[in-house]
Amino acid sequence: MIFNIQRETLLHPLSEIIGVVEKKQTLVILGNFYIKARDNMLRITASDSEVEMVASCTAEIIEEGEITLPAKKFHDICRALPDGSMLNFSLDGNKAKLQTGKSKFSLSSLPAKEFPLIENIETYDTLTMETGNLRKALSQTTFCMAIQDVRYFLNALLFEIADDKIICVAADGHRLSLSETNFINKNNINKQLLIPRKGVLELQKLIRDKELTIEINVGKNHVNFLCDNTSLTSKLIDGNFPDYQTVIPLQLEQTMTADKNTLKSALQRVAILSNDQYKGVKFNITKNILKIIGHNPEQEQAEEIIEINSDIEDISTGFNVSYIIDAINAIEGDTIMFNFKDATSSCLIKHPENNNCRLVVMPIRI
Amino acid sequence: MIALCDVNNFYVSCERVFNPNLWHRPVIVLSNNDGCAVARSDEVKNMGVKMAAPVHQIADLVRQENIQVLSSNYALYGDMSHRTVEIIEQYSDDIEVYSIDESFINYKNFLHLDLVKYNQKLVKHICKWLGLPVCVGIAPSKTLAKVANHFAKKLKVSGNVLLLDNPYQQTEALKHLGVNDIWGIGRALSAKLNAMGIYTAQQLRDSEIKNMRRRFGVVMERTITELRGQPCLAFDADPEKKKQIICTRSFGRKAQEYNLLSEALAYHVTRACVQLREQNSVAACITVGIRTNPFSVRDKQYARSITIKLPIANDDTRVFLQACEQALKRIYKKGFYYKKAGITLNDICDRNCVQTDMFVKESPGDYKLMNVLDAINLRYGKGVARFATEGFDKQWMMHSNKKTPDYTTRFDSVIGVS
Repeated sequence: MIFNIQRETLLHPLSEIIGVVEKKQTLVILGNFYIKARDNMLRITASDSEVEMVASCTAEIIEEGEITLPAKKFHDICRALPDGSMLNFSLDGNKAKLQTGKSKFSLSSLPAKEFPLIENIETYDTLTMETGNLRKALSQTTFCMAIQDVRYFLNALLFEIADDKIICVAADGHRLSLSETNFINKNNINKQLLIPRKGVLELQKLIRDKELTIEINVGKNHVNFLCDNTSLTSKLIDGNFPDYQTVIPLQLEQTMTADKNTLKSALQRVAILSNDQYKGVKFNITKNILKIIGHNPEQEQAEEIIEINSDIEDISTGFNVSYIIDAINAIEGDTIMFNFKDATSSCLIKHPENNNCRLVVMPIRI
Repeated sequence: MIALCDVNNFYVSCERVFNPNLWHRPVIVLSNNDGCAVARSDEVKNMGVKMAAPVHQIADLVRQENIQVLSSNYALYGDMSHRTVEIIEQYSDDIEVYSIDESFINYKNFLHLDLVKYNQKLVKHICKWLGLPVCVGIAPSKTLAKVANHFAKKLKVSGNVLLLDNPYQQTEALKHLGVNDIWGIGRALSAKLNAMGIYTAQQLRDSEIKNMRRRFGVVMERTITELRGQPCLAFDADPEKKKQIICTRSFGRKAQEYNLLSEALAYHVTRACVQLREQNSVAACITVGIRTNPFSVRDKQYARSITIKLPIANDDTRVFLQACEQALKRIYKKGFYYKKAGITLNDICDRNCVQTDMFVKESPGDYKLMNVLDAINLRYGKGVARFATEGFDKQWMMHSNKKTPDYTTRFDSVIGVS
């Protein structure tokens, strides 16, 4: 296997997929990139056995072949080489030789046959959507995904294709976020996919600054996203996401509407003196006044009063201030609406008129 | 002025209170599972037995010198410690209980008194009421109070009280104190200081403070400032609640069976949850760990721990028992001889500030049940009402073959006089 390639041409695909490689892998070979050189194309694959990313680039292939190389080292070398370097790659036994100008590197390799590739995902359905729409849906929801929760189905994003909508839902139990995007459902697909956290975060990175169309292939156990020569395949979680409809309150009578920026700055100030561990702040709402109080174990206290539009007579509840700030950041527009049932029940947060993004935040017992 | 009141050879002294035959005899008290010497009487210290010496290494000496060897009796020591603190509280309402046998007393509002006489009265009081020998060191900072206490013991000063309030006395004391004997300077740090030519506490006090901070950090700067008589360690009269509760013990014998490990862990979970409720907290994380004996070269080695995060912070023993069982199932492997098992409760926060969860239904009755369980055990004795998962015969329990009775905490162990 011998090929020549410009440093920048190689670095771009490597950087796109390096995030998939775990620092500590179960199988040693998963610390490697799988590289296949054929038809003047390099196909580079990274995998953690749940999520697989494949990126391609053109190269001058002198001798075709396939090999696996230590991912981080290979990426670091390419990053550290000077701009415009022309890399000559060759194999000498089980050592990979990389040469450019006066720099020479000899890297260990492992046989390509041992790399666990996801072969064929048996696509049942295919759909396309604009990366801009998907990016918005993900940015409004992913921060609510749980991290290493025993309820494994919460360490994921629910991607639901229903009628003419794509609905993304994430919840960690403390809060839930839902984002709806309109979509032309040509093939009448109705599906719920539970995509694991890591796959979702890599997908978010993949479409970070691309204004393109993304192809989504849904298989029995996998989902594949194809965008701009890069493919991301993720296993689907075999489990049931809780019925989110029952958690989102439908019609709550006690509402308050506030200016987003005023509320956000007040919350950021109160957060300074709230408890570091659980960031609890009190919300005291009476008529058109919201009083936010935060205090910490050192008996320090912060209090902010802001004017709101509300029909609430009197309600006093507590929230993790970070959750409310995250909700404010997720919702578009200048105003934000909070809907309450009572002090101990969940609170629905959304734009006053637009229902496309809705968040549910559970209170803290303060 | 800050005083440090410290009970001399605390565990040994507690044993001597109830067994006067032990006075003037060499005595050692062993750690859990009768492994190492954790308390030594002066006679034993003079024989050169080091702190934490493994008991099998001093077996010959024990025989030759007729050393009385006792298992530790934490129920007795805990109770005696509590009684000591109660007496100290009669002398000042501003005290910081630092450890089972040490308390700092803040005398900032007592400067009109003759502190030496006042503390001599305290020493006599504790000796008369409890039979425990104590020494008191008084100085302007906590670190210097530790130094004063060290010399009060070492020099056997009159009335067991030493006041280090003037610079001349402080310099004299620090001149004769090795850096390794300073509070907060461990073995590794004192080796580094020795390499710099700093051997005594006086040399450390007089070192270039900014330079020392650059090399060793702010903790060293604080120690030096304290040695200079300027208090900078806060007086913590109301210690913070525990942020982590650890319950772990070695087994009395090697254990292979799953059930034995499960029972031992259940016992630890129960104890940890009682502590959690006592400080009015809840925890959201439990770490469960098991391991074989790393010193047993013949056995195959295995150690594993796993953390389980609960959806909602809790103080209900049943919830943690379930999580613990679930964790053990995941880490237990057949065919190993296990020597130790333990649990840690983490992510602890106040019970009155709990983040609720939308997928977990809480039942308010749960709190009541645990409160009733605690109340029964407080009234009728530890473990009277307990979970069956803890088992009944406790085969895993540690050795404590030479444990004295719980003289002060069990009615059937109260000494009878006829």
